[in-house]
Amino acid sequence: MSVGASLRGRTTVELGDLRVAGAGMLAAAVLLPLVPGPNGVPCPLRSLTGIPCPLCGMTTSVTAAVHLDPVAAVAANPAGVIAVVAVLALLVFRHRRTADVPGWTLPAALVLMELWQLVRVGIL
Amino acid sequence: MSEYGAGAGGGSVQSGPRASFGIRLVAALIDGVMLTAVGLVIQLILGRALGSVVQFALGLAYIIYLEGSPSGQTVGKRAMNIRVIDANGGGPIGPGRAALRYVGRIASTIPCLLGYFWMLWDSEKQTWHDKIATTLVVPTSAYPVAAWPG
Repeated sequence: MSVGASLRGRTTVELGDLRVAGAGMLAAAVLLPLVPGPNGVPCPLRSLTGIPCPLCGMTTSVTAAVHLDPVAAVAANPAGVIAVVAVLALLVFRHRRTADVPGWTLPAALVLMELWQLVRVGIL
Repeated sequence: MSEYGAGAGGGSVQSGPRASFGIRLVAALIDGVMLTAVGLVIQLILGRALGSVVQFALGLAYIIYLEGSPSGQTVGKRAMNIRVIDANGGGPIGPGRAALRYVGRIASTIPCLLGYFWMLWDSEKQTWHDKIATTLVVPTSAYPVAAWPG
């Protein structure tokens, strides 16, 4: 399927996979502060080029959100707070197995996240 | 022959189930732990500089040979009962596309592993390296393996 067709169409997201990944994300966020040394892995894109990727700051953001520090979470990456809330909702409401979403939603979210990152580091 | 027609009806995207995120993650962890352990032994024997080069070459050969084999299974994928297949024909991808898939992994890794997480949102559960190499990762219950590595 072409990129254009993917954006115009709908995507069937399997929520079981999202629940597994999300539960892993929450568990990592709870455990990471207990691990000595720096948390998370540096972004390869930012290390190589100086340009952040849309997911930069997510480890810090999700960890802060899980430890009820929304200010630090939003400062690192607002998407981390949204991710934590979304995963909690998925884990509470487990009856749905799939969700049909417009194909443009994830690319649009990533573009917004990248714009925010570029503003944050002073490139824009 | 798979009940989902692997190898038949070339040209159409293969129907049927896809390997889940959790299963693929565990398979990757098994391969990663194994390759890291072997790499550490190699570095102890050959020294850090030469050992790192040999470790990289060994990892590359491991992926190209096993994912490019008729089974499409690394040790981790075999342990988790999943395999890599051609997204169009359903057959093996061969060493050339296995190498392309390896290069695609670099693209998947660079933006904070976004290319790996992409499968969580993809109807075909494809990562970026799956899309680059036109591959699917599927359970062997639906796409049986005749022999390993085949």
